[in-house]
Amino acid sequence: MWESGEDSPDRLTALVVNIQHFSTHDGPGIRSTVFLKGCSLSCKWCCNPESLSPKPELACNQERCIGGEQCGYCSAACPEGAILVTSNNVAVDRERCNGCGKCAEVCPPRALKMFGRRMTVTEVLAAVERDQTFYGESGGGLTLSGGECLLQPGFARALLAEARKRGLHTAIETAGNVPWNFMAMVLPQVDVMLHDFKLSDPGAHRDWTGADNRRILENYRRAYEGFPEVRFVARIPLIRGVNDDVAHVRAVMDFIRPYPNVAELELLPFHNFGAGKYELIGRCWDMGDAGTPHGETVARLRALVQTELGYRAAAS
Amino acid sequence: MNAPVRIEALSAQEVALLEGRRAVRDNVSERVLRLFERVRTCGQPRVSLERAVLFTESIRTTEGQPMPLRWAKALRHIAENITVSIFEDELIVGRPNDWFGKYGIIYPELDGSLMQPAVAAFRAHQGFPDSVTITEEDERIINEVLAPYWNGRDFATNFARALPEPSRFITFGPDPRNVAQQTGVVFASQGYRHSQNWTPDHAKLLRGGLKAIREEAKARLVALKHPLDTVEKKPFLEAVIVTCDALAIWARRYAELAGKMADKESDAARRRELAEIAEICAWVPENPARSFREALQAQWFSQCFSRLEEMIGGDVCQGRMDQYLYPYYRKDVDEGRLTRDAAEELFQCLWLNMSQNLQIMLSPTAAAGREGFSHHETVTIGGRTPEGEDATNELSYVLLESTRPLRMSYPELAARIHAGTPERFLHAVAEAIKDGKGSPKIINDEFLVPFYLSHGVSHREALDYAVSGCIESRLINRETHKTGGSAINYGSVLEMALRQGRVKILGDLRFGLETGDPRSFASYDELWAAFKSQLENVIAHIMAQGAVARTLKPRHFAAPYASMLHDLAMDACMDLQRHGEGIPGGLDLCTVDGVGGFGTAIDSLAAIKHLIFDEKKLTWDQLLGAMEHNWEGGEIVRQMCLNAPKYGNGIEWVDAIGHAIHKTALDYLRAHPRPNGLGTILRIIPITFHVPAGRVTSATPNGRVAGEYLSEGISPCHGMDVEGPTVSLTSMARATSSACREKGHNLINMKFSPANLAGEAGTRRLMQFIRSWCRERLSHLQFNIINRETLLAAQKDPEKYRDLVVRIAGYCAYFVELTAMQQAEIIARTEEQS
Repeated sequence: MWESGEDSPDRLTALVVNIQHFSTHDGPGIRSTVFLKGCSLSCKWCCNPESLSPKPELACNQERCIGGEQCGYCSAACPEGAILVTSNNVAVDRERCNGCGKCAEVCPPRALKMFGRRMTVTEVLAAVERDQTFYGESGGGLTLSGGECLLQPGFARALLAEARKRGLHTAIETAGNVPWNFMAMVLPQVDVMLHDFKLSDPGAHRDWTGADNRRILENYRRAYEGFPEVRFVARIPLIRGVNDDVAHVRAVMDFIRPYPNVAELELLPFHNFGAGKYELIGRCWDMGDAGTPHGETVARLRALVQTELGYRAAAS
Repeated sequence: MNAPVRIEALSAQEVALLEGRRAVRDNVSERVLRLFERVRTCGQPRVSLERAVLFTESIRTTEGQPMPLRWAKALRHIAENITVSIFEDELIVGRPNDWFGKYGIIYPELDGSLMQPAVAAFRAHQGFPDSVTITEEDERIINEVLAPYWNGRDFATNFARALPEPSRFITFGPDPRNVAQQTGVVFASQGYRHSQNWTPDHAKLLRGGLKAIREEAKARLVALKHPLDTVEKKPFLEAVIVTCDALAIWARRYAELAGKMADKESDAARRRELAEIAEICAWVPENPARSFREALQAQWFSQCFSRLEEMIGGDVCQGRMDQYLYPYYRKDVDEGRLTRDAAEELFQCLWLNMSQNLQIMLSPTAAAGREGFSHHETVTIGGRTPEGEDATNELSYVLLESTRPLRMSYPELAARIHAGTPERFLHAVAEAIKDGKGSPKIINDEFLVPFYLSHGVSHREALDYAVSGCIESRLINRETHKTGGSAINYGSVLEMALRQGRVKILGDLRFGLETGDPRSFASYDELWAAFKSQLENVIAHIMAQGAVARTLKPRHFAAPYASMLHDLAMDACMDLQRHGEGIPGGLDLCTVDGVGGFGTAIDSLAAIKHLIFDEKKLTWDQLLGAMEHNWEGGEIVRQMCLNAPKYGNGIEWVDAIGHAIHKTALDYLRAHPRPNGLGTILRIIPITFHVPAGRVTSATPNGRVAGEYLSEGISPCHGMDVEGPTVSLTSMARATSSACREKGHNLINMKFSPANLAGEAGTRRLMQFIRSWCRERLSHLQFNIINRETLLAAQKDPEKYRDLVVRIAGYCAYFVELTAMQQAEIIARTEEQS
């Protein structure tokens, strides 16, 4: 599938949403996390909505706009007539916008900004290596996330392989909803795989995330069995009234229990910090303040995991 | 919908504030809590004039005599006559004022000419959070006793008069009579203090007592042979003996007072305490300390006497307390006379004593410099021994823990970190930092030891440095420089490069060189040449000011107490204030300081390079026009500037501008050694001068508005380093990595949200961050770990948050005592989120 030359680090590209330095929740130590664009799920609580679409997307932050009286550079630059500027504000006609990004290039206050920049493996690593002195001390390194990073397996494999060659520890963060051969292709280059269990019931999983979980669970099982040297960290994003119940947590524990290479189970209470980003890209945030689990619930479930799994319960 | 306040986690200090608890931690005695509450509720600080009056009484009777002897006699006069008082609950006694509460000692020999106008300014300022009380009686004393003698005799006036005209002009402006109001284009701090940061060898006093020092001086007197010795050395040694007597007299008066109070005390427990105080003060500091308690009492007398002798910029420092106090602690604990809790309580009594002393300069402009009444009597813990082993011991932990419970910023605790610092110590330090009080600051052995080695110091000596002052350091028996340097305002340098030497806010007068109209610059290199010329010109004036101050000081000051605790001064029989440069074997590191706008200048030059020369998005006319009107009507231009590439984000060419600025100054200093061949070091430390430095800097090409604060230390501009702390730190390392022996100490502030460092995983992350900083060989690092929301709440409701401690520069202060501008600056510092 990957012809020679095409997968050289200088040519292979992916659409990158963001590279986050001093990442502290995505694997061991101090890390840099690379977020790729495009996801095969659409969880209603997603806190990175800008990473869902596989195409570049225009973000419009009206608070930063200085208005058409002074400026208006954006609408002049737009070839599609998709931007409406008023005396003190700006709006994007999402139907017309083709994501070319010309408006963002000329916007002085960066009220208009593109999510998604095509970068080569070499470029991504150059950015990641800016603060590499911190990785060694901390056992940290590179985490590849998304979106769903395994949707671009060629890039992912090449990036992680090159990172390892440069002495960096590698981790990926996945929701598992990809063809098995994508996952199998990348795992040989991975030290730690962080992976989500969103809901237990396939129907409910489809309702909340847009796809059922059968392929996901099958992928996880094959990964545990086929890659004993990889350290797996299971995670449950806890959403109140959706999956913050004993039954789901038990189901996950039962699923991972037989596999010693699933080293940890983390419970991640939902937060709504991503809500603001929905508006920026013209999407709708449906969760409101709902979803944040009660502190007591979280404590109870953590205690359950602690009792049942002992050392495998994550400290957080 | 009102967005809920998003606070994921709170620091220990925030929790204590929200819960209304008296202390951040509970392991603190009722006595300490009572003392703490009394200090915090004693009202605004007052000026304490007793020392000034007694000093003046003595000094006017000794005119014409050698200065060290005059100073010693004045100290004896003070010791014999100053009020002695002991207050309820005190265990460590001695104070230069006669009330319990905050005081500032006044030094009329520094700036006595400015005191009369200052009184008016201070009295007009009553009611502000940083106001100082001056009573009518104080005013009378100043007007009738102090001012008449010191007018025209004080150092500040004579310093300004003695400057070469261009160097005077750049500091004091066009009016030749003005010696008080500085322009801010450069800052001359020589007139504010007798000495820059200083750490006396308190340990010497504890070990041998005054007795040993007096004997040494007597023996040296006998050994004097040369006929010229009677001119300098004999009076110096006589001054040492008089100073020893003076301190002994003062301590004895405390012994007598405690004894009398014990006799009258009805409470049995307090009576025993007073009797013990009497016994201790009758023994130390005349004799060697026999116990931990005696050592602490002698140490406190030593600090106080240093303050009575002179004003040290930032206050007298304490040295490596965990090293020199350890033998006393170990022995008492082993012999069952002391517990760890009792040791912590004694330390807390000492910190509470320190917290009452403030540095107040009675000059009309005093309010503008340091905010929050900063003083930083730095205590050093950790590091390595002279043998190169890790130096931490049980007392390092006792000291660290003793500073954690109380919401106050004293002492200024500094932890020395090195490559081999044990995990246990680093963990304890990280946990303390996470309390959120900004303490301790951390200082890097891996920077400072090579720094000293490059100045020709032995490995053994270099390893024994003490952190001193804000972020500086001292080899306490080797370094001899007491004269502070003047300071660069990088904002003004930049403005002068863009405005042909003129400074807009200062009447558009020309303070710098005529370096050409930027509109005629065809390339970035031409702009850089203009900037470089302006910077070199400013440094030239600063060097001249330093030389004038050093020449003038021996005629105005002496420091027999500091000198008698310094090995080299005693060997040479010379007073440090008279012969700092000339003391044989002394390391005399003359300094130039950069106090504000290092990041502002980098970002401004980067914006011009990017927008005008590289991308050609702007013309000079557009940029200069918008800046001329402080961006009014020029919002597009300002937004372009704000969004140009910024320092602190790992962009190599931007960081390289910082390196070029740093290197320019260092190269210039290296090319112009002092006549004795000694070099000058450059330190980039803000105190809080980046605020007044910003006040005189008009709009800058980084998008900043006129008058706003500049960047501080070598930190990036506020909120502009958006790639996280790791990238930010890497940029700072790159911008200042000039491998030059002149390279001095640089300050770094970091702000984290508590959520980022929550739990044990967070502590480990902070430890890892510090380890990497250590390996990058940066000199200094300090943190504010606090939620932005807490700071905003404190602004709205200062009464509730009156105890909130934040990190300012090389020191901490109460947030609500800062001016609004400084508060805004603290809030704007980047909060590192993940």
